[in-house]
Amino acid sequence: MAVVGFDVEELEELVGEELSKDVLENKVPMMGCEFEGMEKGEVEYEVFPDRPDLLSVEGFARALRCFLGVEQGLQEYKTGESGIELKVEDTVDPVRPCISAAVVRNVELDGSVLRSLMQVQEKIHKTFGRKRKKIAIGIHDLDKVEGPFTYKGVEPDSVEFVPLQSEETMNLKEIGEKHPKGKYVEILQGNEKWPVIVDRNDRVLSFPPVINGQLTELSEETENIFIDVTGTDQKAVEEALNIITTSLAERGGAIETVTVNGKERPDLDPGEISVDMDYVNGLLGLGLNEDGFEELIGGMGFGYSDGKVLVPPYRVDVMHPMDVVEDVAISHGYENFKPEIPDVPGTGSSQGIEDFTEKTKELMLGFGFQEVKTTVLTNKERQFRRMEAEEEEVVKMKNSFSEDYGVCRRYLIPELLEVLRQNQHRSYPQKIFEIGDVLLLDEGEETKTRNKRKLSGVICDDEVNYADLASVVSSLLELIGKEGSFEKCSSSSYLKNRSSEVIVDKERVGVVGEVHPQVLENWRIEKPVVAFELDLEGLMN
Amino acid sequence: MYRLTEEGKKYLKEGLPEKRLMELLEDKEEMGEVKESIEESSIAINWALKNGWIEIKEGTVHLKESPGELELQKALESVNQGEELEKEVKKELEDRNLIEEVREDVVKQAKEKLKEGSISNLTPELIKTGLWREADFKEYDPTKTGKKRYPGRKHILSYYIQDIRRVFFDMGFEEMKGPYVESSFWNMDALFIPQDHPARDMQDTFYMERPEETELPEKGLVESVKKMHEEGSSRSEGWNYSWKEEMAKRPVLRTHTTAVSARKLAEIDPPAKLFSVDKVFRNETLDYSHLPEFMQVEGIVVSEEVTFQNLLGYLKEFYRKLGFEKIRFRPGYFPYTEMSVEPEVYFEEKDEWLEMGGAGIFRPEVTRPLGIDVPVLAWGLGLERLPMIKEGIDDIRNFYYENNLKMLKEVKI
Repeated sequence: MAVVGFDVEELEELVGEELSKDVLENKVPMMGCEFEGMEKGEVEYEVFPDRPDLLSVEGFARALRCFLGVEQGLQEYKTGESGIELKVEDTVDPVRPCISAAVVRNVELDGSVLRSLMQVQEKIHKTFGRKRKKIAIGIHDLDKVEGPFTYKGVEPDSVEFVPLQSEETMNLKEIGEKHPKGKYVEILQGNEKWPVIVDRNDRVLSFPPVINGQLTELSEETENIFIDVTGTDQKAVEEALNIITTSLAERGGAIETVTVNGKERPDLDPGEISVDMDYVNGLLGLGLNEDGFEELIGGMGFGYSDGKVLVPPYRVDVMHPMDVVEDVAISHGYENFKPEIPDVPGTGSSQGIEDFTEKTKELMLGFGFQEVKTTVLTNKERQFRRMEAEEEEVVKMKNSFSEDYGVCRRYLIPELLEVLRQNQHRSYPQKIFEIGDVLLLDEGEETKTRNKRKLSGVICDDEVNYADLASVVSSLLELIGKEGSFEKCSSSSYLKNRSSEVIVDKERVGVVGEVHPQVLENWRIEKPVVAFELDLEGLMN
Repeated sequence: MYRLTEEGKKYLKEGLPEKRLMELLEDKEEMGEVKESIEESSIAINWALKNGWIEIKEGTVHLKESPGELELQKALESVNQGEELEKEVKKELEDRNLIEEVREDVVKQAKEKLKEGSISNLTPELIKTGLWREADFKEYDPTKTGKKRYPGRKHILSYYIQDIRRVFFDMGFEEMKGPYVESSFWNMDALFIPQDHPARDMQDTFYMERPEETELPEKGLVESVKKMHEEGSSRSEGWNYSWKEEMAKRPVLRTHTTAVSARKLAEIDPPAKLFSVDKVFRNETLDYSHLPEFMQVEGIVVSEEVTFQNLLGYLKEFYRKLGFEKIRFRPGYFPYTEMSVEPEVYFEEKDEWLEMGGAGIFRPEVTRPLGIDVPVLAWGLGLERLPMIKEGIDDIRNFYYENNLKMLKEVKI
């Protein structure tokens, strides 16, 4: 999520009202953003990803003007025609097919406007623009170049220009290799031709989504602006253009359209969406009539006409009547709803395995064991190698943050040994247990895996023997109502002739044994350990 | 050595039955209803007749001769005092099962114990022989309570899990479960999260090497979800992109239990109240407050009738039952809810409002493909946050990763 910082004075100027600390801290978040802090005349908010229109100080102020009641209702944006054309060649289709553009005239680009423009551009790139992949915005000094402009795909080494933040003329390939923003060519990799925007004299304005040319760099002297937005999704491209141009309109800029693919862009007419009063009232329980509804949505910048909600062109999050309903709720104020519990029938009931887990846990506590909780995430070293056990198939992650947590546990005992290892300087005896799920691969399941509930316990002390724990396991089985038998088994995890498989109803349900000193040495545990592990799920029936 | 049996002890206290009968007759000389007058009347009459103290005429008991003080009663007293008895009396008492012999080795042990002088522990032998009467018990300092002891304890999180499950049961919610490894379909697509959404980015989500691919649920459901993403519905614009089945089949460790809710929604008919308290996974480096796996609590209410006010009502009640009296609601954002709420609860101890989970009403684009046409209220929170704040735990790793046994044992209930 994006955190944006605004100069409080600038915000106040754009809102047209003084904003007290209390308003900034407590009232503004009720509009739908999070107050992050305030320092040295700058206030920070976290803007939710569905509202990129709030990323600029102009857009934020526009929303506040409505929400705080300074000026409510739909704001209309008038556009003139610039007469400039942007030609789009089909050579861009494979690499970055979508583009739109606009002209904004008579903008006073003082320091704060420039700063705001850079901020919103950067934040949109990062969030809504998916790191420039879906959307990239270029902003240019229009008077440095001449239309018509052309958007086309070119061989990376065939076109060269001086990019921003550089003095050197480079071709596209070289920019990718040498320029600080060169990393973005990654988005274009695999394509023979890369996109550029050039003017009528073939001078390069932009190499989207990587870098603009130095030629059209903005300065405080810039009066007229040309904006291009390129990307992979035409709808998102138009939306980003709407957000940028309407932001600049807040600064007094005059928006003019550019002819792109035969259409005049941007189209800043409000969108329309039908919202049924019964639907609103059914969801909010406010019993609104149309007038009340119109007033509330006016507080969020929407208009209302002939039973239709008019959606301002910068609101890109409205795709369903539900989205309008949320704005009605926000405008009404979450704090003004009366929380009420309805009469929805239902009986509290639990999952059988959870009940059985609780009952078994009580028995283990009664035997004097301390419950621990270890992680499902683990590694093969622990699960198999330190146990001197043969490696088995495990559920395995592709991209774990750490090799130590690269697979999902299949057994609990190794994880309990890890707990013992970490607690060696604490008092003994240590009797611990865990009831938890392990993961198994299973071709028969939809997810190709299966959770399995298991119980494991260990005792570690200066003196401890097999019978200390086998007696617990056998008593436990009896109390669960199962007849268990113990069959001697051989496993390199346990001392020879000191481990058994636990058999119930002819099925192998677990193991109990005295841990092999080699295993203890692998873990650097210096006291003897006895351990058991049971398949709890199998014992439930 | 002899001691009194249970019956013997009783008669020592209450008097032998025949003694009680004779005491009654002293005053009356004759009696019609002996049975009603004393307990164990038949034993009393039997012995009184045998000793020639009474006679029975026409169902009435008459005094023949007063026995005076009963020797047998005195003998019971003597046994109790540990005195020796005449052989005949001893035999009579034994026959009547009023005294029993104490085994010689028991007597011996008791006597040896006595020889030790001042005694620290009372023994069964001293009690059996009655020789405790002669013992001199060592004095303790009863203000000393001995060394610290720890019972087998539940893990601290188990206490919290138990509390939360109880709250849900109280509110009439049914528990649900689902697998740790999920398809992207259930974890994301079914929640109307578009396939290019940043929430699917590698850094947050554990993707799997094994298994490589999951199956998808039945075709009709998959088609509905696909259509909602690509084209929307009569009321929604949808996301307008080409939805790919391969992406939906990518297995992940579930990042939220909302995946479980989605599965359940596809199964049920409204109305329903459901909850889960279960593990979720995030591919995040672990530090003092972040865990790559943690417990998530989730509740959903599915009903034709429910409103936004009801969502707030459930939240208020839920947190009140967890001990938070003051709650307030802020607008929030989650990709699959509209009306999204961030509840904040007030912590007295800290004099601070703290964000406590998230809530909302599922977007119709989520519920419709799952076959649900009524509002679904939903809320959730990370469980570990509760003990961290309430118990003042500043490093969650102590409890989860290290399992500090000292701390786990000493947790206050």
